[in-house]
Amino acid sequence: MEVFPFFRARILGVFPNNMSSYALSFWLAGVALEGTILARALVVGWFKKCPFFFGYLASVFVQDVFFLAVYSFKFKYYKPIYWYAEFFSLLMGCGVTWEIFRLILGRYPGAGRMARNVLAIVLLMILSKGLVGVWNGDIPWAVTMVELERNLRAVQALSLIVLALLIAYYRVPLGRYAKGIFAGYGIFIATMVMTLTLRASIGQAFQAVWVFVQPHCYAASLGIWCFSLWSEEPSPVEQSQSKIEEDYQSLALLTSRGLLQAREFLGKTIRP
Amino acid sequence: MSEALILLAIGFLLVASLVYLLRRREAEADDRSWLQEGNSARPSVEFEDRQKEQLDRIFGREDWDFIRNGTTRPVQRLFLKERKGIALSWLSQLRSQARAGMDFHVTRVRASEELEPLAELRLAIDYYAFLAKCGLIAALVLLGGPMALRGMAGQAESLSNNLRGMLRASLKPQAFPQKTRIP
Repeated sequence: MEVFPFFRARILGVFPNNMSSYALSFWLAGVALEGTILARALVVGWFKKCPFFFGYLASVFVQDVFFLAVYSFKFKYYKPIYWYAEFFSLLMGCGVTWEIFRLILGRYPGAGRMARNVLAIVLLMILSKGLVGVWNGDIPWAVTMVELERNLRAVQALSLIVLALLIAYYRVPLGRYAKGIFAGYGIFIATMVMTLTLRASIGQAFQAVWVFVQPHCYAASLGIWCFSLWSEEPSPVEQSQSKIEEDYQSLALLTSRGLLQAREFLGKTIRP
Repeated sequence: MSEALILLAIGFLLVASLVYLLRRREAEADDRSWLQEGNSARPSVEFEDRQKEQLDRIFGREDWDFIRNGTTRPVQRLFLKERKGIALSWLSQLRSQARAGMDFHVTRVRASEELEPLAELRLAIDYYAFLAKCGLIAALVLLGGPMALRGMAGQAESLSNNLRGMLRASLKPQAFPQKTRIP
């Protein structure tokens, strides 16, 4: 469905109930890319390793085909089922976000623990903001469905930012598949947040840009997934420190003390 | 409107962090190859011995006093320029060694189930504060030259020794009690 926001545009009453040849060819290309990735995943057995991601992709694939039929033959049913499907995709997307975390940090329980803590703080802040909004009599989440989807996508985006920061800080190695899934989904979520924000803020004036930009962004994500998942991934490099056993407390304390002393001495150099 | 700006910033931040991450990984794979070699010597992070005389020479006033009294202005300018370069190079080396030590720490603790988020946060703050101070001193050296930091020689030696001790200790896994198995 994300590949085909022309449907959404029709709901918002801008475009007539017909489709340009460009839109149709773009839709067909999207379905073909999704089908290619799914077929490749079946061949190499990646459904078992990333059930949420490929489940998400399969659901989008089915929706694309199904919604084209509804759009073409039973258009009056299109709007009611559109939002159900959209939020089903959104829930599946939350599963994909969780799966990206598991895929990347699964072998690093320490970094995973940091991720859980930071995410808990972020979600607590968002929840607190919402509760304060309710207390003040505001509508905390959204007035329209577009805003609701935008806000939920923004939470996913924040989670992925946290993940990116932790990967950078802890030098977590990324495999080709994990990198591809993360990059593709991250770009998709980021562009969704930005386009939905502009659509909700600017309104109808942004409609034409929105229906043009969004499918192209999704196509870019599909392209990244297709490229990164196509070739075989070499076996992950085992870390040389895999047999090292050590006490975290001692290591952290020692590094911390060393840095503190170093900083103090450095401070003294400018206070002779 | 401010909410829209925040949401747009989140979107941009995600794109930027993805780009940074994808670009950064390529470069770092080579930089950190020593971590995967099981080489206990790890010369790239070992502190080289810094003799007290060397630091006295870099940051002390003796050479400057001699140059100032016995040479012309162009020679003095050249001397100051070279000393500034040496001091900045020393600071840069110090920074990179601290960075290597911190990198080694995070690559080892990331798989530890006993990792404590608060301790890690404090450590990160200390590390970035250290880098900030290095940056501050570098700025002072750039503005005033190494002779502006008169007390540096003695303190610099202490700083070097401390950082050297920290790095040496963190590079010896057998020095720690065996509690956590890293898979």
